[in-house]
Amino acid sequence: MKPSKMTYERMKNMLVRDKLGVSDGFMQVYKTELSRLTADYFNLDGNLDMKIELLDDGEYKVQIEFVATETKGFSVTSDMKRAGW
Amino acid sequence: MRKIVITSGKGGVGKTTVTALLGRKLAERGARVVLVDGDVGLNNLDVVMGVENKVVYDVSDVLDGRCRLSQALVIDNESGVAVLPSSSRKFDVSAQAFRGVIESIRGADFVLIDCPAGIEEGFHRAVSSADECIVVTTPSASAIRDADKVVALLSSYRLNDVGLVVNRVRYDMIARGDMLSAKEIGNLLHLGVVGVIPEDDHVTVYQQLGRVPDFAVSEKCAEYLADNVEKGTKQLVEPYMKRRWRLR
Repeated sequence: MKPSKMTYERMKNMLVRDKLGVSDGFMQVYKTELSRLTADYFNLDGNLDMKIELLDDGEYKVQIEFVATETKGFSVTSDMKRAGW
Repeated sequence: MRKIVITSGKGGVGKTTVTALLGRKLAERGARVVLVDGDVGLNNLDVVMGVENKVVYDVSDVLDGRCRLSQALVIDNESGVAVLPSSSRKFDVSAQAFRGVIESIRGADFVLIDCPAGIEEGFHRAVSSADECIVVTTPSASAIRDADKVVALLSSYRLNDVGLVVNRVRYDMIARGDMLSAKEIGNLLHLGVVGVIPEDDHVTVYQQLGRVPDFAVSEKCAEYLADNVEKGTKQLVEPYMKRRWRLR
C-alpha cells in the first residue's frame, strides 16, 4: 500500500476518533468486549475487526467484521417450550 | 461586498500568504480588495504585502478614534490592494467592535480577513465578522487534524460558504503516492477544494521582497484560486496533471 493511502486511512480514523471524543483505549476495550460476546455464539477464526466511518450527514457507520468457523448451536429456554418440554 | 475569512487552526500553514496571493489576484481581475489583518499582536500581513513602511495607523487607532478608517488603510501601489494593518501591541478588542470596523468598509468588492492561528478569541473575532470562509491546510497530518477541528467550530457560525485551500503541495510526491492529494484532503474534511498552492521556493522570495515573479507555479495556481473565489465555484485544478507545469 502506498504511503498516501496509509496516511488517508490513518487520518480518517484519527478524525473520527477526535469527533467521537473517545481514546484509543476505549475503542480497544469495546473491541475486546465485542470479541468476547461474539465468541459466545461463534467459533472465531482470527480477530474481530471494527471500522467506524463518518458519513457526509454527520452520522457514524460502524462495521463489525469477523470470520467464524462454525456457530455454537445451543438451545435456549424458549426453544425448549416449542419442543414440548 | 463579500467578506471572507482565511483561517486554519494550525499556525504556519500559509494563511497570510494565501490571503495576500488571493487579494492580489482578485485585484488584478479588477476587483476592489481590502485585506484586514485579524491577528492582533502578531501582525504580519503588512510585511507579506510589502507595505510595512507605509503603515501609520492601524486597526487599534480606528477603534480608539485616533483616525478614520480611510486613514488607516495602506494601499499597495503595485496591485491596488488596500491593507488594514493590525496592531503590533496586544489590545482588547471585542468581536462586535471588530465587526463594526469591517462593516464600515465602503466600496470594496472583497474584504479578506487574515485570521490568527488557534481557536481562541481572535478566531471568534475574525470568523464572526465574515460571511464566507476559506480553510487553509497543508498535507501534513497535524495541519489536517487542526483544520478538521476548525471546520467543526465553523458550523456554529452563520457562514454562507466554506472552502478549502491546500497549501505547500508537492506534486512529485503526490505522483509517487507519498503525499495526500488535495482531493483526498477535501474528502477527509468534507470540504470542496477552491485552491491548491504548490510548495514553491518563489514564495520564500516573495515573503522577503513582497512580490511573486509571474513565472512562479504558485502564481498560476493562485489564479485558479481567485477564479473559484470570484465565481463562487469549487473547481479542483491540480496543475501537476498538466504536463507543462510538471516539476522537473
